[in-house]
Amino acid sequence: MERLLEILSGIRPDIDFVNEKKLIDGGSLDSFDIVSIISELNDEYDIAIRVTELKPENFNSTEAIMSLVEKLKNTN
Amino acid sequence: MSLNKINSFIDVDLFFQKYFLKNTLTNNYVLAETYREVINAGKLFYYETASNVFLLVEKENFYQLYFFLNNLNENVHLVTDKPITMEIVYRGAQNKPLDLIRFWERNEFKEHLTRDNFSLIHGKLNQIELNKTSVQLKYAETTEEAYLVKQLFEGALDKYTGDLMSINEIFTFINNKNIICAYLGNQFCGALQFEVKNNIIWLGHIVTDLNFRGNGIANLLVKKYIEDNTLGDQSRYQLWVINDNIAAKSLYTKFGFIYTNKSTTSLLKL
Repeated sequence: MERLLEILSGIRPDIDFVNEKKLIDGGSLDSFDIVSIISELNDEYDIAIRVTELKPENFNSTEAIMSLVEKLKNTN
Repeated sequence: MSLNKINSFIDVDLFFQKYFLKNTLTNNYVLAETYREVINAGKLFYYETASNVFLLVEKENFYQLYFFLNNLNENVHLVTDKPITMEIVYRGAQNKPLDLIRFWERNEFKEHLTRDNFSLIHGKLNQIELNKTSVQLKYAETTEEAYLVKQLFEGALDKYTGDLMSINEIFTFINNKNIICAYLGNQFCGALQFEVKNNIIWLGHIVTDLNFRGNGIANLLVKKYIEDNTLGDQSRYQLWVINDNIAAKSLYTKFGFIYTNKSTTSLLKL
């Protein structure tokens, strides 16, 4: 989780990724940020994101993003 | 080579599996739900090379292109019945993806416009004293106003990347009280359209009629847009402004908007 927080903070240093639970719904992240995050996740965890996973609820919190990573690591 | 229509969301998923790899260059910022919508509307097409795939969403006057590039040495010759445009978003001028832009220039595209993203938190709003004026502001209500707004925006905004609205979209914004009109006497002289998305109050379009510029109309429209949409100090306002539109940038900065270090360059193939 710490590494993920580092990655996310590198993309958007202005956001509190520890406490914010509505990153998309609250407007902190937009679809461009999602693309940036996906790109970093691909590099870091060697996972391939599928279009079916491109939905706001997978990116609303650090925990949700971590769950997505874990899920994809298990399926790739 | 011509385009092929995508009829199923599964096809998009297969393209992602095949072409969205580690180190793939992409400008895809389309989420799953939007893909479903454009497929259902019959407006999603693709063009495929050995290593790359290009997804194109058909709009009224052009195609919007999303690329997944794995090999920049391949040539891309897209044949369509309308112009093609694309946006490449990046963080700050120092990160402008010049290699990617050169690639597209080698493949028949031209760099078009660059826009910068500006944002304001209400708590950081500068209180602006505006000169007394006889300009009147009101929310658009009538069919006549809908067509006036459409004409005004179409006369001033870029036809490929200006997100021009259809008359039905304008009617929807009018019903939602999302369009403010400015009048000087009985003369319609400007308009501002906004919408709330994910708790951000986006300023979508703002135009002052060429014949009425210099009357502080844009200042009045922006002030009203902010004042009428204040839920507290955390209210957030956001917009895109053309990079070299110094006057507009100056106006927004005066209110307290700041550059978010996010820009987008559009490329166009006519």
